[in-house]
Amino acid sequence: MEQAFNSEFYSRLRTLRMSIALSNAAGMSGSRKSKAKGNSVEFSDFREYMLGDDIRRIDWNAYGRFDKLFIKLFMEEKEGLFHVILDASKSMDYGEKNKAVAAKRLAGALSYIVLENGDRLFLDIMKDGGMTSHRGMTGMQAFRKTIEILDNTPFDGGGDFLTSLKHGNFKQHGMSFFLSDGYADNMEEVFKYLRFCHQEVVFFHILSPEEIDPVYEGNIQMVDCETGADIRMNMSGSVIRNYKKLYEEFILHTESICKKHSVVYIPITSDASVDSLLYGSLSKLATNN
Amino acid sequence: MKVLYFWPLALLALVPVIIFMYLLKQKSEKKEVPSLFLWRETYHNIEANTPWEKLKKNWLMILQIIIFCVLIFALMSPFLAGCGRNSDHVVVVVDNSASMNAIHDGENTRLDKAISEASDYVKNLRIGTGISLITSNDEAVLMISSSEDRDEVIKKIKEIKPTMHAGNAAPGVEMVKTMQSQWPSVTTVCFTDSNVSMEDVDGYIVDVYKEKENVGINYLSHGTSGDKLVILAKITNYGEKETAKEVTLYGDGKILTSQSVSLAPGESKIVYFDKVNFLGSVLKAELNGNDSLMEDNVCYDILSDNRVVNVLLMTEKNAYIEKALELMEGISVTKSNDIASFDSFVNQKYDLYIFDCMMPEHFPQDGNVIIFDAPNKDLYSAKGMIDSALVKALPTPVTQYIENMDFGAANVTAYYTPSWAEPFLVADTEEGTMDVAFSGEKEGQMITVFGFDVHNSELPLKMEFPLLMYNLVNANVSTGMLTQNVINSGDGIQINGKADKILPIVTTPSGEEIGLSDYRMIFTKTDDLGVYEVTQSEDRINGEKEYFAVNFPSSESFVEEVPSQTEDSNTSVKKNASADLDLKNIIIGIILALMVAEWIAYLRK
Repeated sequence: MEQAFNSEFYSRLRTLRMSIALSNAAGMSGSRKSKAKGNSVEFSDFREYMLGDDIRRIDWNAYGRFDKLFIKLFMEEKEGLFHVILDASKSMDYGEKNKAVAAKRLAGALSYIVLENGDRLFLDIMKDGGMTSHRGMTGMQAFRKTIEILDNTPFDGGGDFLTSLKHGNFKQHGMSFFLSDGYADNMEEVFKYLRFCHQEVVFFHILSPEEIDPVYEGNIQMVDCETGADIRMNMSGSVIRNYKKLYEEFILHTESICKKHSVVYIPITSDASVDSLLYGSLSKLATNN
Repeated sequence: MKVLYFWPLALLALVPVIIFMYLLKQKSEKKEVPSLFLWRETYHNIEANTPWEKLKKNWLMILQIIIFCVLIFALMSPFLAGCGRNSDHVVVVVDNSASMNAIHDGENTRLDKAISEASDYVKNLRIGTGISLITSNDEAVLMISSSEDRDEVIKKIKEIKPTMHAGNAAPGVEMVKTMQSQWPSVTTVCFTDSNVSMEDVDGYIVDVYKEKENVGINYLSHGTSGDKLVILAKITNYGEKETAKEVTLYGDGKILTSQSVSLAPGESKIVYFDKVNFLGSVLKAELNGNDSLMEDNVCYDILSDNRVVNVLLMTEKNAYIEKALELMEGISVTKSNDIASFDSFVNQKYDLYIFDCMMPEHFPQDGNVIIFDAPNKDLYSAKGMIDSALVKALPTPVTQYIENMDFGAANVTAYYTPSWAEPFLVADTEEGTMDVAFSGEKEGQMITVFGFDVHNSELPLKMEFPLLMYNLVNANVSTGMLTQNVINSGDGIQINGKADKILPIVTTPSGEEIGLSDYRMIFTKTDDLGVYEVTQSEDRINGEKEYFAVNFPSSESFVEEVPSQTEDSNTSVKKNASADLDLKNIIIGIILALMVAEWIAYLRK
């Protein structure tokens, strides 16, 4: 398998600066402007004094002009809580341009952006219905650890996303980056659950070129790499055409359920270059911002 | 398009075997996929087609099945049906007349070509087709009727022998017309060199005619000039080139003389041989060189004394005697009841005079005489009259084979038999046996006398009467055995053997001896050209010999109307019977092309 975090990745990463919108930061105090009014130095608004307000925040200049007591409101700065949820099932370890590599790079880049913005990163790795959560990482010093974790994550086992997510820590409002090939009947349930957990969800749908445009010929025994189940098919033109039709329907369906549950849908092809991954795919994220 | 055989369709049962073997041969390639999520649904979508999907893209197997099917198709002998092969019944008419002996190509005659074409045609007929075979020349012969055994028919076709008979396929077609009502659909195929009308017959002619050079002798004849012969031969050039020929005349096998003749295309010339000194029996003219029809280059003529015997019957009315004379070949009977003008008849010099109850004033001085119940004092005298008597035959040459005959008669005159005569009928009376009929030679003249009127006797009612008359005529005149000496092949010739000798024997030109089954019969085994010898004697060595010649029928030297020139809209003419497009070779070509394609596909795989 190609090395996910190579020199090209790091050289591009240094130039990656991106702010990711998060509507309601709910973490600890941090650098992210919260919609909540707080104690930061950044002025936000005025309002009339109400009983119980801290009199230190009365704007006396305004009182002098308007003969009314006004309270100065300041932005409260809090940490953003970001979950990078990585599907580490065996199905992700597929393709000449491996989906796992693309997923790792994407997860690494997202982690970098989150940590670089001073937000808190939760790295959740799903596998076999379970979830390994590396929680609460902040600061760029945590980036090295994140890369280590990602680099050492094996892609094997099965994938039951909903069960896995239920093991996760989504108690606070945050944003979840869901990186998967999305081969599950219950993707809608998955998104519903994440939205229920006050998560703004971005789904990075990672597929390999072999899945998008299969080039099989002859009599093929296809074995599901996760379950070991198999079917035999003779790869005629009609079979391939049928598959492609189903693939298109699958993408449209996934996109539609994303839209339905306000999930940002970003399709990724595993043969995308590092540039394309970091600037192309993530720029969509910025656009959404 | 039609096929000859259907049995190869059974081989289609092997196609599933090929498919099965390919299914066994197929090995699926194992491929790991991230998920069967989409593939499973694809699988369900195409599941209904799965057995065929498995075979798709297996070009080698498809090619092999196609090759196999095409091979089966080739074995079915497909052809683009022309005329005849759809019929349930086919009649093959082969013309084996004399003209079919002409050379068609190389060494092969038109008949050889016809046999070859007919055999091929029959071989390619659909199984179950009823086949009849008719040969036709001057008459048609049904050789096989409604046989489904093609090998047997082909064998019979190959056994067809050429004949020298005049004729064509017309008698065969006529026979088909009488036979065809028994079959629901029948096609007639005539293999001939002459045009025949196929009206009312469904079929066509296979034309085996081919234009070739030919010169033939039409006839050979002779006359006398003093004690020498004058011989003439008619020669015709049937070809399209001017030609010169040498005509050689043979007498009893030895060369007598020869002459050259030059003939323009289509020209006929008479060649005369004057003052030929020959006393033998057989003349033969022969043309030198080769041409397409050698048989008409030879012609025979016979020198013979035989001629028709003239008989004068003087009678008021005697149907019995007339009928008995009518039965005899080789005699010409003149009848008269005017005895007064007999002298004028005598001048015509008859061979035999028969006086029935009348006697001329002047008895004929030459020719033989038979007298029924008429007096002649100069020759014989009556002994007395018998009112009624039982007349019996005596064993004499005249009564040979009827020695036991007896009959009743009335008003019978008994004679004193002259010394020159011998009685052959007698009557028993109270006064003893009396001669009532006698026969003998007097001064070179045979005279036979009956002492009663046949009307007053039972003699005409006896079955022996015609034989008695025959014996009497033969005893009185010599008619010879043959009335003709030159005939064409296939014609019959009347042979009148003498009843007092053994049965005649005919020796053919090939030396075969054929004994006749009767004294008088028409001999028809005249297939061979040449000189036939007829012998009849008591000891068969020193007996009487006569000759007749069988010539090639000159009408067969040239075909008046060849099939290709027909303007008859009812008659379809083809050059060969297998004019139907045989697709077998084309299909074999396709098979080879497919095999090359398979080979290329195999190499690419």
